[in-house]
Amino acid sequence: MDPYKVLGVSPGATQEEIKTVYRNLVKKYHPDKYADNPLGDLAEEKMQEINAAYDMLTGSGSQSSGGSYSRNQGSQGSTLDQVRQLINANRIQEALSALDSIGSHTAEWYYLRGVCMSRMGMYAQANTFYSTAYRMEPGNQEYARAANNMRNSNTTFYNQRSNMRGNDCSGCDICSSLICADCCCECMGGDLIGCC
Amino acid sequence: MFGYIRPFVGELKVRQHDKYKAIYCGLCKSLGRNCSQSSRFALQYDMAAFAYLIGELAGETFEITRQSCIAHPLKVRPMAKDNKTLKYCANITSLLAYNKLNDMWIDEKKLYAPIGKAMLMSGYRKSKKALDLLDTGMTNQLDILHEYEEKSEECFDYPALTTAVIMESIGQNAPIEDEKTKRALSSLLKNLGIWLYLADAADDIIDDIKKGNYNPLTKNGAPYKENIELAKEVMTYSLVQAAKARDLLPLKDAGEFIDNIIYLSLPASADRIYSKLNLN
Repeated sequence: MDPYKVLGVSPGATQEEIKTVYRNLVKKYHPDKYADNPLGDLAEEKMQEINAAYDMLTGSGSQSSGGSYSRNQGSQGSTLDQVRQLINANRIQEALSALDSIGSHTAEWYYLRGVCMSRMGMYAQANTFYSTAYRMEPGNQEYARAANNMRNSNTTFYNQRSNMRGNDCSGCDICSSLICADCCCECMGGDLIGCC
Repeated sequence: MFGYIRPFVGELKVRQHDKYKAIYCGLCKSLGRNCSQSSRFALQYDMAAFAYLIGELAGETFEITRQSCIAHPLKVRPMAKDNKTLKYCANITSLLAYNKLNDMWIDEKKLYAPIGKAMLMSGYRKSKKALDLLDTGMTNQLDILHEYEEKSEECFDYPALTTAVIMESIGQNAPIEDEKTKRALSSLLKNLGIWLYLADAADDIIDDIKKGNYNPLTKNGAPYKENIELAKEVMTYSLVQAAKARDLLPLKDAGEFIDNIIYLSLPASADRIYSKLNLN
């Protein structure tokens, strides 16, 4: 494995540059970002590759991948835990069947239903279920994050979109730069632009 | 459904734009060769964009030579030579076009549909032989879509998923060896499918109201504001998810190309569609 290629840095990169690139990659491929995405296992593999490359270049200090999203274990006993395990294994249809067999619809039930919907690509439904879970248990961080996830992700996306557009030079930039250059030139005894 | 997936040309590198045009021409020739001459009428820019992406993932380089063609007999242009990616995309084009016409005939009894179907029939038969399972999957999804239309399904997730699953199958059957790459590609295309359905629905709101056609973004003969606002959010989110899938693909040049589509072209199209709505 070429660690420079994996991290996308040149072989001459400093430790600081490597750390910055690593932090950005962690933000991109962290399992939390892929909690509602069916490619979570691929992201985790990528994260392991990135950590290995970082360790090779810096000697140590990579973050552990943090495991799957199910850090908060269900309080409703084994059945909802089983649902979480099925979701982790990307066995969404089975997870949905397991949810259907549970009569009591707690906040966690709605949250896990939302995750299933999201994994399938039914984002409007997912949002509704997340919102219900959050309304039922407003103090729960996991449900709060999920309920705001679509809105927050969309905002980040719009920022990335703005960054992708080239930073064009506007007429104002050109004109003001020329005036400044002319002033400096005149201070030195010359005259860049005769008419100002 | 067609015509939305194309790059924002102003931010493409010149060589990428040239390659894209050469692939488009190459796809046309591939349709003629692998399907039928009349199948070439089914050519769409969307499929050229997919070919650009799938080609790199399949490890193919497009060999570009200067040729003329039946539509432009006097001017010689750069065209990509036929390869397995173009052949695959040609077959997909043929299947999608035929099935779409079939759908229009069943739904809206458009008179040009049976004529179009007759033109595309021989090409469709060849493509169906090459990709039978994919074609069956496509017709199944269109049947499911009809069921939603019959019962005027209010939640747009359901009809959108039918388009998404069709797009996903295009990824699943692509001539790519690595299974993980195929999974990520399928997920990317699936999310673009969700975006496509909703863009199409939003673009057709006014027309569908006039003609009394099913549209999950309308209710009781008027634009359904809550669903429209939610669809706007979901469209952006589908691009967020498409980007996550793109991040897991081993892409270089095609990565820039698909980034242009995901981050620049499609959001601009969405803005255009929604700003049209606000004026009415």
